[in-house]
Amino acid sequence: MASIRPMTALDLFHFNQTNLDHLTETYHIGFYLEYLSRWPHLCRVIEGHDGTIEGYILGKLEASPFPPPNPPYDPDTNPNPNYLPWHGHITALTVAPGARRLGHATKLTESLERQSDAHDAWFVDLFVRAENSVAQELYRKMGYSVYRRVVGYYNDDSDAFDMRKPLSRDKDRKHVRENGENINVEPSEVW
Amino acid sequence: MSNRLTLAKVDELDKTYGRNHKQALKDCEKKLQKDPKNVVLQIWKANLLWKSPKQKDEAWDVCMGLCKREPPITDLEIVARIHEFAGLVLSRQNSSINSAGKEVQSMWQKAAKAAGKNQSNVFISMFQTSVKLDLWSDAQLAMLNLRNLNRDEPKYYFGYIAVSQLAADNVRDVDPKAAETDSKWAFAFLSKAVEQTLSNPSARNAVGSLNELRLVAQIYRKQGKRKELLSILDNKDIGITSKVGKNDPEFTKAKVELMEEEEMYADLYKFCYDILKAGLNAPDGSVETSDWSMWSHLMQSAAELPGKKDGKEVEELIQEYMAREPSQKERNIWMAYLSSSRIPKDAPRVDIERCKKYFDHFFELHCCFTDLRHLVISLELDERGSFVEYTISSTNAAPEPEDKADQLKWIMKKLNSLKFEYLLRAAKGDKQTLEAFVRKCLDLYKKRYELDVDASGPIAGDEAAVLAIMCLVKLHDLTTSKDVISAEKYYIQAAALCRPLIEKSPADRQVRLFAVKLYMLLGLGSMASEQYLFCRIKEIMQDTLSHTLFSRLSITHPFPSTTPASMRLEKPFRDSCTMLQQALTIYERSISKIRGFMGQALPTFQFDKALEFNDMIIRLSTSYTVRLLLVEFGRICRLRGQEQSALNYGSVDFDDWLSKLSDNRDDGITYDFEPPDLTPFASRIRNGPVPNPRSTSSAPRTPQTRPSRPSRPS
Repeated sequence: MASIRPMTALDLFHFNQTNLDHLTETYHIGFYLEYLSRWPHLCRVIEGHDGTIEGYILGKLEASPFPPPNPPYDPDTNPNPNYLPWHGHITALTVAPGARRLGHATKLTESLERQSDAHDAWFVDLFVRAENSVAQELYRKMGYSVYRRVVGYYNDDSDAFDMRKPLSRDKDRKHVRENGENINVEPSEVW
Repeated sequence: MSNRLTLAKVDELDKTYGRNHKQALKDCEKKLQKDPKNVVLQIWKANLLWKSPKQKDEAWDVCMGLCKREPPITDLEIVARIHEFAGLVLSRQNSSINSAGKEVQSMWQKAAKAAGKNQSNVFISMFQTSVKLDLWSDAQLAMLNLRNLNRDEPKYYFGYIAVSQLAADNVRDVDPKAAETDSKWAFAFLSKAVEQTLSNPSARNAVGSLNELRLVAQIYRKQGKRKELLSILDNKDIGITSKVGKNDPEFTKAKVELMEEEEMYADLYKFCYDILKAGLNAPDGSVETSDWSMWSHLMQSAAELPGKKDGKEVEELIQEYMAREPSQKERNIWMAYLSSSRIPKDAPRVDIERCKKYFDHFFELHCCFTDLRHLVISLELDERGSFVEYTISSTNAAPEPEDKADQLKWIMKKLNSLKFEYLLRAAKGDKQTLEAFVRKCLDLYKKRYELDVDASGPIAGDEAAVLAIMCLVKLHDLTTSKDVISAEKYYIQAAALCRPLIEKSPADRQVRLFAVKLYMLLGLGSMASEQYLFCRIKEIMQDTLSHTLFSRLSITHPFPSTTPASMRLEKPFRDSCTMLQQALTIYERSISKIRGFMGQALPTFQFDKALEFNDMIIRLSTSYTVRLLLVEFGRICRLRGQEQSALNYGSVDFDDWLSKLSDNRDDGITYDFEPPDLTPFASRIRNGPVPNPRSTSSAPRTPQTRPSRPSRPS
């Protein structure tokens, strides 16, 4: 069974079940501390009945670090589709191999979406490798769609799909579009 | 006053002298003769005097002279350096100090006064320096001044409260009176903020954000004010449902935990029941209904209430959920369904039929065994046998499917059945039972690769081989008293079985760590090192997992490896000393990073996280693992006849080697399918008893094992 709670710094001593998975990166301590201190409401763990951490999510709330083309930001008057208004971003989402297919990823993502919504974000986005169809399907089922393809985003020159899900502030779904897989952008155009 | 010599230049100059402090001191004094009022030179002089055992008092006098200097020093970098020096000196005498002393505090105050309108910058610098040095009374003073200078900024108000609590926590053992005072201050200011919020939510220092509410929850809980915190969480202006709390589930959970701690079982029951009942009307359930803590607290409170302990009302609620189609997939509700029959405290029981239904529903998932194991072990003996037979016949009845996805489910069903058979039957079996079980496990493992399903790790049936390895180890233990040499063949078979396991699932690091333990047991240090290398254990995971390789490394593998070229052992991993040194580097680096992080983040100081980060520093600096690594390093150096070089060993206090140990080692990574009344499997493949404080207690007193103490702060 699962119980979601905020991630704490001491959880770093207890996340071996998730971080021993070869697809999960273990960062230096400063990385986690930054997320825990700046966006504690977007960092959650999901525990099993014995308190073992079975998964976690790290996210942030941000906007492009420069003013919108036509301030104040309005999706109807914004000419730059690559400008990022206030939104939630999923930086890391991982579930222990032995706890997969239990809906943990969905529950963690939903918790981040609720928090982003409560903080007036327009949407939640994430990056996923273009060849990772499994992850893309997982997010599609949660209501995400591809907004654009970032060409050569990863260190090995693989492309990334920027996937988004609009939140309640975006009633008219102005921040998502069809066929985003065919809209290419360079990494320099993406903040 | 001329300060053409900067601190950076003096540091460079000091490095060129190396250990020749006497010559450096002569040079410094010569320069001071020409420029006696030069502050940078005086700091250098103090540092050099301190390095001489007979001149430490003189060093302190120089430092105090700088603190009392008139006109006061206004260069903040220099002031911070003096503060660091004073902190270093005092910490040598007493590692639990909270302040560098009144003279240092006064030095900062004077610098601030001289700064005019920029006083806040001075106190920010004081705060950052104090945090870096772990001197929380100094940090408290800095924050108090910042609060007084910036009365419109609530972050300094709440920052002062957090830092006061930290100051209290850090001196509790050595000065309980001071700790009590600081705790009282923290609570007094915090409760004042709460009162202000209730009377005027828009007051200057009202609790108006999640961070601030979180700080309230932390400190009230720390100080045992649970009832008061409960009434805050229930308040419409400041509590869970207010604009401050935003219905954050964090506070809902805190509320149920507090009610349980206060044994308010009737309120707890009603709260959880009402939420879960309301969840029935939500189309996909609610946030709370999909949280196990609601269910577990409901059942726990029912067990304590005279009118509810038959569990009937809870059972009816669960049945309502079970009748809903979506809930058939919800693991929490299934677990409630399994657990509800245990509500009557005087007559708890496990319903075998429910266990069978759970198996039927979750057999293809890894959680099937982990969820059911603690329940089925409580079944009566004949029911346990019945359950095992049920899982076996259920898996045998299912024909081998052709579809790849179904094949994986079929493999998982068989594997889960094997695990239950091991838990309830084979684990205590005799030689024949174990040997038959090994054959069964290997048959499944071979089948898994014949089918070539596209998956790896615990969801793919690899644990069938792990079960076989466990049985081989047990066969060794069963036969070793009769025939040691024959018994060893079981160990060799177990080790040999690791090879295909690793080759077929190269990405599975848990398997590799399992192999590390087994190889170390057999004295195969190079092979263990090779597997450890591929695990890429780094950063904080060194503290929790490095013991897997390094426990008793000095016995197994004290000398550099001369492995064949076919073994892909990178250079550092050929030498146990180098490996240990690498593992030890994370401590001081991590602690320094955390402290620097806390101090640098002052403009956005997350006071609600300060207490948490401080706990992390304590966990790392009192870690048992770092002491274990140091002892192993010392032993290896002795065996090799080597001088022990200076180590970057973290913030270990050698004068207080064993107090307040924090054992962060994680043995949960080793597979464990044992019944609770048997030795955990991790213990069977450990190459000796669990290293504990007694085994390391004598180490620091041996000159050869005691490393040189680096200067602090670095």
